[in-house]
Amino acid sequence: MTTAEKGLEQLAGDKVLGKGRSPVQDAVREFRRNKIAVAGMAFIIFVVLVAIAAPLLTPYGFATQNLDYPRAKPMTSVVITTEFAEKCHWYDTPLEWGCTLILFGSDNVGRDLYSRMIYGTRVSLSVAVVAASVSLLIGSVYGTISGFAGGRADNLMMRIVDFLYAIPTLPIIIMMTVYFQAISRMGIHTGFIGALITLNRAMGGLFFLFVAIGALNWIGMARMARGQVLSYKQKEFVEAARAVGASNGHIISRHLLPNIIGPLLIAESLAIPGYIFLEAILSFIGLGVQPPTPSWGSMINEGYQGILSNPHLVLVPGIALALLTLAFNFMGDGLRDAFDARLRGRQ
Amino acid sequence: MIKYIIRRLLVSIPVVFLIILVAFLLVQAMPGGPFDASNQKPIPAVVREILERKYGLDKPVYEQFFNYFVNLLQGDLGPMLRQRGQTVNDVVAQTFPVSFQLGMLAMILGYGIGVPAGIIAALNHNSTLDYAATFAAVVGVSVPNLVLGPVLILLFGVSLDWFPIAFWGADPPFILGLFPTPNAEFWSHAVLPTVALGTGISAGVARLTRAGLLEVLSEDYIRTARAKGLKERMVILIHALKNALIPVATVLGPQLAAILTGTLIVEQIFALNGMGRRFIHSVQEREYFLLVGLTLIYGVLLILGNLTVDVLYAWLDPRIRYD
Amino acid sequence: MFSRNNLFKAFALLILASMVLVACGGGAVETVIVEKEVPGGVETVVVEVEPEVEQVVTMDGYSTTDIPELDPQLTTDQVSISYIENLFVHLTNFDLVTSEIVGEAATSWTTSEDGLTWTFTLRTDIPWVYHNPVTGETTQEVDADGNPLFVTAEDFVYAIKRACDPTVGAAYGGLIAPFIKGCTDHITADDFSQELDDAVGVSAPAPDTLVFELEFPAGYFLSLTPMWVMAATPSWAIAEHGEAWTEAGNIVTNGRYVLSEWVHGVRRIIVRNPLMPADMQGGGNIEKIVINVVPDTSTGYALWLNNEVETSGVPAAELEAFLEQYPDEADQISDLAVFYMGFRSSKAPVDDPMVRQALAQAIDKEAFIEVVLQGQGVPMIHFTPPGLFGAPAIDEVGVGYDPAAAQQLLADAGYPNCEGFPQTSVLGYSGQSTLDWLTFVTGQWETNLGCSADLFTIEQQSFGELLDTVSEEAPDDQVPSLWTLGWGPDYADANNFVGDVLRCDVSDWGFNRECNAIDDMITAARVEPDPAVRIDLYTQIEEAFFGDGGEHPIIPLWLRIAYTARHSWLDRIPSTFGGEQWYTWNIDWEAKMAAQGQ
Repeated sequence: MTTAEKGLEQLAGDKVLGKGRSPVQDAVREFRRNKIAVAGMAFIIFVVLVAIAAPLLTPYGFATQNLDYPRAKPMTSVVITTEFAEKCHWYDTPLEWGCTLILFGSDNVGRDLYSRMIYGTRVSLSVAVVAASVSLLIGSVYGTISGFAGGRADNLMMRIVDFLYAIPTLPIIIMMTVYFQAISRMGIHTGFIGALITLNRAMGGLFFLFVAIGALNWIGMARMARGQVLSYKQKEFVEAARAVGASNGHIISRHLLPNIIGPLLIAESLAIPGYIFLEAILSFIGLGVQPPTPSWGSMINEGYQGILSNPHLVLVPGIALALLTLAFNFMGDGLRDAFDARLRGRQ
Repeated sequence: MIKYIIRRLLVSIPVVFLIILVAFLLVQAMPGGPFDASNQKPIPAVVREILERKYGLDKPVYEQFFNYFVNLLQGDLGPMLRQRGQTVNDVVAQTFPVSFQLGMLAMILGYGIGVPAGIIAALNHNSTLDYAATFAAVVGVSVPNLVLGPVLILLFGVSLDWFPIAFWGADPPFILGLFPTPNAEFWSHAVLPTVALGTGISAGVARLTRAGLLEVLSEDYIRTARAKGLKERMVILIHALKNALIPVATVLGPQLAAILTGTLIVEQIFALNGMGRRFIHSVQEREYFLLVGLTLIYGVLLILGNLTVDVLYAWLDPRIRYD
Repeated sequence: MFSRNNLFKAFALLILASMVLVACGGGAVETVIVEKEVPGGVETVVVEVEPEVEQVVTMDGYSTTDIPELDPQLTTDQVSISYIENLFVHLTNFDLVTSEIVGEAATSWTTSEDGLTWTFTLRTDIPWVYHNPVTGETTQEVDADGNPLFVTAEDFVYAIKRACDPTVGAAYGGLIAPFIKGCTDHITADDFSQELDDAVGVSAPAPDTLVFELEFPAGYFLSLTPMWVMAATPSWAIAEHGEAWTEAGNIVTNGRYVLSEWVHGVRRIIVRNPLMPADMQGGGNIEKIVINVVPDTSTGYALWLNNEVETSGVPAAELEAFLEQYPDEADQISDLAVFYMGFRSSKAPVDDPMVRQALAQAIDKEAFIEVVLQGQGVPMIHFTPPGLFGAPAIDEVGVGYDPAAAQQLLADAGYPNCEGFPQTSVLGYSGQSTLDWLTFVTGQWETNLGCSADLFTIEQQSFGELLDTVSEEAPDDQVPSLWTLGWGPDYADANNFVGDVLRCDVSDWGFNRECNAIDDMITAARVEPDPAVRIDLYTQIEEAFFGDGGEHPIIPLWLRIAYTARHSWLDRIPSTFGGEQWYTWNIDWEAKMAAQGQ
């Protein structure tokens, strides 16, 4: 093919995509070129599906102890006789013919590592979703209001942010965790707080923790939101909307937010690995999930004591943690590159 | 600039007060106290009351806070509740230098490897070297300390027996209260923890340096420089580097915070007598004064760190002026 | 552009390489500057010299914590107690070979007819010593006139009154207070009172005579005398240094070892006291003990594998491999801690003793120990562990695992096949092992009694919170029906278990027992002077509690035994009461040096 023909084809390709190439479509194309980023996103979607479908994928519950087979090594298959069949099920149907244990090995009390890993995805993803959402919500609202209001209100709000920026989060989080764990045991079962406490217990005692993590990390988001709002505030379409008589709320929700939400989401997704780490760290020092709920961090903690003779207890959750963080990092990088490249034109 | 620094310091004072208040209240809110049990055996109620009275823990919270604050202003961080012969000041003097040394070494390692690596990657953009470096960087950022630590111990400490697997190798008294005696024993102990902590930092720094330098290199003035010739290229490259380091400097602040977190884990794994490890331990023991004191120190470090970063930022980017 | 690349690359590599090289650089070699005569003058030469390796028999160990407390009156935990055992002398000692109480500072003792007065005769040749950490010298303390100071009865009086002093905060003062006349009055007072202090029933009519006046004729008072809380302490050192009197360089001691170095959170070193009377030295050959702080047992175990420490705990995950590879270096040691589940006896459904016994008999403790604890335990069918005075033989007295009987009992209690059994809350203290225990137990109740595991709500709290939650004052509906606890011995007598824990007027544990005839037996056993009668009484008490048809206020579950890794060159008898007696331990120095490759 000659260069000219290639060029024509490219033009034609552009035409096939449609008349006006919206920024989002541009970005998607750019993103798709970045193979690693796409792989990252695919992995994350895969993990999400796994988390949702967890009971379908696991032969055991995450707390089922097979006391006869503790610390089994990975890839050793043990056919369990019908005696143990009742513990072994496929989505509520007990398997009468027994089942083979142990893709990844088992832990100290014979719990299947594979099943615990699958359920562990729920914890890691929950922290990602809850903390990120809380942080995004508080941060973007705060930042938008501050940027939009401008003047003294803006000044004051940013001063407050600077103020809060200096608070050391980890020590505070550690102490808050202990506090929340106590609150959640106080046995209040009614009303909104009761519902929250029940939700907390369902998540293995982590809901409040995630809220706390998100609540302590909204500051960067707020700054970013404010910056974005400031730069968009000057644009013509805002002027135009105001001239037409649109209310402030309308301007914010219809014109500003859709534009700024992109970079904010990207920034937030780049922060997600940090949240996952934080949860792993807290579980590692014993302040995270309540046993028996599995979290990759708590599994590392439990397995760490036996690392000399049973390295799989640490390596399996460790590698999984690293892969998930990698995926978020690559995806986040890719998203950022995709949106930026659009702005700058092709390199 | 001086006025800016002074103003920032003044603003920090109420922040510090807030940190103390929040930490104090949180610590009081935690259920259970320091004198409930020892070694998993409960302490008789009679003795518990005596001990609480001795340390003023039976007084109302506002009175306790007031007393604490007054002592704090005199430089007294309070007593240790479970170790009678020691005060919080003693514990800080013993543990802070270790955390500080670890953090500094990790930073040096991180930036010392990260910046050159990022530069190399950026200058060889889109080559295999670049991809390899980027990949390595992302992996480095993604592997958590708490996996890297035990793996390092297993590999270099136990299997290969190159390095010792625990302890810091430098004890009090420290030089100028902060620095260790740099002998071979110290270095051999310091290698594994520093690598465990510094890898994540170097990876992050490499990514940022690369990204920043790439962005700068695509600017027009660079293209012009390329056209113009060698000497000017050098001058402008240095200028480019300075600009590229701006995003690196921006995250220096949060990096400090990350190092503070990271030392916690590394100290735990490598049995280092640092602040992070003592903090975790004192949460379980409900050492009220130590908890508040350490939180306060972390906060002050963060504030000073952020201030240093902002000043550095201004130096790097002449467009930024504080007044 | 290329050259710059290479430059940066090389620079980075250089940094890395130099760090690695320096680190690998080698051990501690000393350099000495020597002046050599060479033709033409004198030349200075730097010479490398191997530092002298000390040949003192040294024991290396690690501990997961710093020593919390070296003050004998203030100590509560097992780590501190061991140091106090070796740094200070107590009134009497526990002989590890004969398992009897023998004299230490005291040579003999007598009791009055009514059992209320105990008189101890002390030896007068134990010196108070001071160890200078800088020079390494141990010297005897002298008083203002230059007279050498020995341990006298007056020192013991000072120490015991100090334990009863409300401003000092001696945790175990609360333990001895009920025995010694006037001690409870003082320790519960708001502040120090000279009058109350003088009224405490301990005195020294002569430097070698110590007299106790007791509140009641405690038959087992002797078992308390090896305790650290009554060890003599140096009043002048405490007066001079206040709370810092236990720091190295301040501390004055009188035991077989002296404190040589104590870097908080890092390491401590104790060395032999050369001034100790020869017959008290204990027979061990260890001159120096170096203990580092390693908070993590798995790191500590790695140190043991590397021959850097003599003993170590074994992390549960490593246990199997350890037992396979080092079977003759595995010690099984019990600290005599008994773990149990307590009942809130005032709350349904566990207010019915038949229900309690049913629950107790439905648990297969052997299986639990085998599987969950990996054999590190012995099932307990009654409460007092073996080795304590008055304890029945371990497999006698008490009902055992009997699922059929349990089902029958439950049916008789009104819940045939567990029908109608209400929702019951179970509380455990935090930790995976407690959870394993609770999961197992509720699983057993399901298998053997037909009580679905859903009937039992399991919760976990930190230890301190748990104690708060189950306290006597808390209203029944907020207290769980069952909870997990453990109890370790303070002194070598059955009263420490059935008396101090189960007696109806002991308010610390929240069982809410009604006082009955068993409590009368407990009181009688406390004051009974005849040992044979006491043994018989305790057997009856345990039977009344844990026999068939008994009260079953708790379910004793197991006695803790732990595997410890011990290198074969260390010869020792581990101690169960009162701290390790390192002065009796021996190390085969040549074997150790050989293993360390020197």
